[in-house]
Amino acid sequence: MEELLVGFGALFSSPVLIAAIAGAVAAGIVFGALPGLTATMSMALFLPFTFFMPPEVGLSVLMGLFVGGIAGGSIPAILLNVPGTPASAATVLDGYQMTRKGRAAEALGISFIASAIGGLFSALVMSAAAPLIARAALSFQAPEFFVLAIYGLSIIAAVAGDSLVKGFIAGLIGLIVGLVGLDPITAQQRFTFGSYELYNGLSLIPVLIGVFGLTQVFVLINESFTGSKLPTLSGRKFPTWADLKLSATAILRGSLIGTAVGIVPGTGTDIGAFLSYSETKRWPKGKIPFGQGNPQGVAAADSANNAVVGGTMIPMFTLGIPGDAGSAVLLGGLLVAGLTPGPDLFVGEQAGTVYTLFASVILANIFVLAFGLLGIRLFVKVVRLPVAMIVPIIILLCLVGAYAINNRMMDVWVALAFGVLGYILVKFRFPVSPIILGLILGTLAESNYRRAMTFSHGDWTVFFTRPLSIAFWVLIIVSLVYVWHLSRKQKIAARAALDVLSGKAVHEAEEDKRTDDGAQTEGAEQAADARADAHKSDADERRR
Amino acid sequence: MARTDSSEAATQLQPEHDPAGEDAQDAVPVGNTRSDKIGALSIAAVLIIVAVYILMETTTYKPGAGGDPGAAALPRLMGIFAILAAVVLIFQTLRSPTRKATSPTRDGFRATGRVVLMMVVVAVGITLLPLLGYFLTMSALLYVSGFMAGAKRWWANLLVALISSWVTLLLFSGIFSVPLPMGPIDHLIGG
Repeated sequence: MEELLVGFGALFSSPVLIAAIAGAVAAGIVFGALPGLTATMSMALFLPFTFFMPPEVGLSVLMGLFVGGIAGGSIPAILLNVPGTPASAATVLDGYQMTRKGRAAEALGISFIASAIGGLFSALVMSAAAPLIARAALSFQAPEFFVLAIYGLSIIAAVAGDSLVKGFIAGLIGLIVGLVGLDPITAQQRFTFGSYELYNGLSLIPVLIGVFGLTQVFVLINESFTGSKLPTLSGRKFPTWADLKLSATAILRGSLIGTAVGIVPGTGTDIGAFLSYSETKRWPKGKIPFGQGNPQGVAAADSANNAVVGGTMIPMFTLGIPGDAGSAVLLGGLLVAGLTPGPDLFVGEQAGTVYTLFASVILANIFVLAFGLLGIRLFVKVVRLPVAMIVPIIILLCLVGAYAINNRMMDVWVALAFGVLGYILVKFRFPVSPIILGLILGTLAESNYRRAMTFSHGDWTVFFTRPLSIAFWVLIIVSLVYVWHLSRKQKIAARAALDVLSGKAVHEAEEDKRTDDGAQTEGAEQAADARADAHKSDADERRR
Repeated sequence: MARTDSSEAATQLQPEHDPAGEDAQDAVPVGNTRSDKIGALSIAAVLIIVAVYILMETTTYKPGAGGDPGAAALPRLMGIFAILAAVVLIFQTLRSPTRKATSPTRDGFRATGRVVLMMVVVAVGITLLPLLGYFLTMSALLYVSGFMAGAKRWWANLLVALISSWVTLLLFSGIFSVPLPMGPIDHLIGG
């Protein structure tokens, strides 16, 4: 910790460094808010400029972009149902529903607070225990990765809504889409239909843009025709104290999960956010159900995705293993600056630079909070725009975003195809988030399953004999049992409510008979009976 | 409008406001409408067709070696799961009670027609993008989409289309160095 204080000393003695971090965070938020422009892309674009800066400034700029980019992705996710980056795919589940209920400002406020706390938490963990944790993360091998992916896929049950089969089918669609391209081990062509553009498979971002962004366009067109009302604003500019109190545990849990996920190389912000969302859903608080504008959903997803950023730095700084694409760019910057990752980085002259960087990440997260909360008034103006203006803006962002990721028209067509598919699924009450989960986790599961089977010479018990794998299997079983228990509890509660309803109906019918005081006509009796029958049959139908 | 269910899909199509969210668990109509059922059955049918295609396609893949289950293992598993899931969905759909649609069928058809038209417009826009260039195509696409979303003032709609296309052209092409498809006009206006 003493080294970190020295790092802060160096940071606060350089106004240029502080200004650079502030500028990078602001630029990162803008990049993240534009669908198709990811945090990694912004870092890659700025990387050449950092070559001409002092190492501390250049690397701090990259980190500021990373932190700001992940936080900024939640702005369109909450306001428009279009995730700015894959990291915000889980944020849309409750964030956009909050906007629809007039709580856009509160959702944004919770998002920025959660992002900042998650980021700060992981930065502190990184500063305090990086070398120690990195060694433990190395014990993660193919069998553990496979079981982790299966655990991730069990989240489908949590985001499936009221029909597990429909959620499962949506997840299968994602898994099948993930099969397209060359297979990860033997490079066998799968479902490429002879098109070389499909050799690398379908990129995640065009699929994400299609499933959330263009689907939203079609939903809005449908609603504009049927005369549905636009979301209003509650008038609040910040989250309520009750919301914050409710979300505190979710933020803490998300910070822990995000940091842990980030430490494991090869995972990422999106997986961290979905895992945290799923875990938070297992411990619900308050009256608002998840998926219908529960602030805990936003808090869980956003605290985790920003915590992943700090987590990914741990193996990157200590072992030279980048946890995801963003930290890979950062590793490039580190090497260009003449800093070789490894235990030696934390001793001697280099330690000063490294701890200044750690202090910069902490400051970057504070800037995220400040810029986010200050900008809420500006951001929520999007909600006030009429549908006739929002629809063209979403189309513009979606098409340009899908194109910008690889600079090819094929991705724009992919986005449209998934927009159409997403709309069809939404129309027939299928959840769409599992598609993204399937796509992200399918590749991770397959490549690690096959790797594990290869090095164990076809012995499948390898997935059940390693301590970390066993721990994940236990988590999977606990999750599934919990989902089953919850659905059973809900069914019992619904049945009880319907019984009360039908009992009330019979009581009303009897009351009607009594008040007629014997002079009731046959018609009135029949009417009362008919009402009771109607209530009963309604109740029976619901029970069925 | 009554809330239909707690699923993400339904809530996306539910525009009503519920600032506190307290009534979120109110009156949950049970069952599917006739169109829901037709949709679910169609999706199940398509899923079965895709699954059969996957299973047939994987017969041509090379088998794995040295413990590796091969490139066909996961697709086959997905194919089998897809068929099972489709069958379960068919049974569930046929067994669930049918409830009346909340909006008149004719309105529903017209709204769907508008959405399909929007999809066609976007597809035409994407086709024309490399031919006519970014600014011209995107401005036209945004104008038409704004009009279809209910824009009342043609000039305001046109202004939004032109300005947003131009700003994004400058931003993406000039600052972010994204090589957007260029036409003659794009070069003239700073692309």
